[in-house]
Amino acid sequence: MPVLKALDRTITGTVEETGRWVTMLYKALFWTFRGPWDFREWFRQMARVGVDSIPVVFLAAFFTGAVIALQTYEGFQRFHAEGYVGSVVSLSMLRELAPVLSALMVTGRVGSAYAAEIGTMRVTEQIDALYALAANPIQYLVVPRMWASVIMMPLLVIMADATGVLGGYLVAVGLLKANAVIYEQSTFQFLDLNDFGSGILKAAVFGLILAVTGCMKGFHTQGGAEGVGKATTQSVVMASLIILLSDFFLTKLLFQ
Amino acid sequence: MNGRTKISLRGLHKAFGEKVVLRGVDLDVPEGSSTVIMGGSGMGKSVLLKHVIGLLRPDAGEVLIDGGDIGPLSESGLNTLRKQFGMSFQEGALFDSMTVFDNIAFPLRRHSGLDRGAIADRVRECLKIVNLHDVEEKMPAELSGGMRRRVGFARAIALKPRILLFDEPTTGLDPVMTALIADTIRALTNDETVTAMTITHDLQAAYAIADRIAMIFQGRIVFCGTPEEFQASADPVVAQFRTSNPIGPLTEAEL
Repeated sequence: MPVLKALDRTITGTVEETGRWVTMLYKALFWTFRGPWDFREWFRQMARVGVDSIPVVFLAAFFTGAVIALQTYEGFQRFHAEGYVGSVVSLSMLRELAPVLSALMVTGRVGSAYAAEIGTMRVTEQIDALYALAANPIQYLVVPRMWASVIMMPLLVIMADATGVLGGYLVAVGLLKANAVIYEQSTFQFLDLNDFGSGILKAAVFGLILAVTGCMKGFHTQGGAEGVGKATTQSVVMASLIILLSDFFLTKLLFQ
Repeated sequence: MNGRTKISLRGLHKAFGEKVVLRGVDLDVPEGSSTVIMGGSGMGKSVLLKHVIGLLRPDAGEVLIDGGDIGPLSESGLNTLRKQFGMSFQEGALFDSMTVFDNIAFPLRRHSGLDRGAIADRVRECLKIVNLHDVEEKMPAELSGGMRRRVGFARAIALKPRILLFDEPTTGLDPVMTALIADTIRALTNDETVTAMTITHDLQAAYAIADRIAMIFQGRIVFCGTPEEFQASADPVVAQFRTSNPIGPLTEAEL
């Protein structure tokens, strides 16, 4: 039965990928605590994830904040609730949109690059060479990339929070002539530390997911240049899906 | 050679999916010897070499280094063991994000404990051994294939390892460079404690490098002996290889 065969392939494929993913995470954690630590490499990777991602994350967050303000202002006006637009923007940015959108942007920028460069190293035997030179590639390649991503994602999200709120403010006050004082008040009125903290925690988890997925896909690349392309695409799709799924469960967990 | 066995392969089996590559490889490599592995393309020579350093794990059988099985070793145990190995790869496998200098300095910086000056000296020394000049600051992408292979060779010997594995170090090199690499391997194994395994297709190079030649065919070692024995062998596989005869067991097996 071709249907059963296809089903079988899908199931074994999923189980295999899950196993590889968990193994990669486990190994990365294991090698985190073994020297030697190449902190220069850590900083290089942190600059790559963090500093180099600022423009895209800034733009994405700014326009997301702006468009929420635009949409809700128009809608809330219908029942005279435009005074709450600031709350809607700040709550949705901090709790949900800043971490998720930043994670998706960074997945496209950085997670894919991880998969591509580690994949290239795999197909050109550079991974084998690292093993042969007694430099464990998990320790040398994956550990700095994973922690760079875990550390920098929260920082990016703090910036995204601020730019999103700013984007909303500029649209509401500058474009739609909302009252600046009321808008400011409503922005912080219902906000508590948990809203901010949960977003930051999500960001760190998403950073872990996108890095582990990218590195795992790169590590298991097969079949030359075509394989590298495939691994890169798959890493973006897979990381994005895991991020969106885990976002739901994290939210459920954090706000229960 | 001092009669001690450095590397011992026992009944090594390896398959990749449906494709069976090794079907019971038995081979003893004495300490201080230079062994050349020969065989047709796709016969599993590289796979064999990768088992010796634990890059691949056998489906069955064992790899003994100094009498100890490396099978049960953990990844960190293997990592420690590999510090006494040097290996060069077919296409060089240079780290393309680093200059030639950094590539060769990589194992020295991690494992040698030498200071900056001593590392630079050793890198230049290694480059001189493979007869490369003015390439230190070049990136691997700027080098020709043969140059990349020689840099890979230099990187493999930088730490003065006890066990050297060379995967086709002379393929694609001109005859003079081939002779140079062969002489270098010879010179390295003149030290009683240095053991080398080299893969090559080049008969001339093999005779120059080897104390012993092993022939792999259909996943097994079908011949193992001195170059003289190799030249005198009546084994049909060896004979076909030696005489470059297009007709024989080697070509029949590929069909």
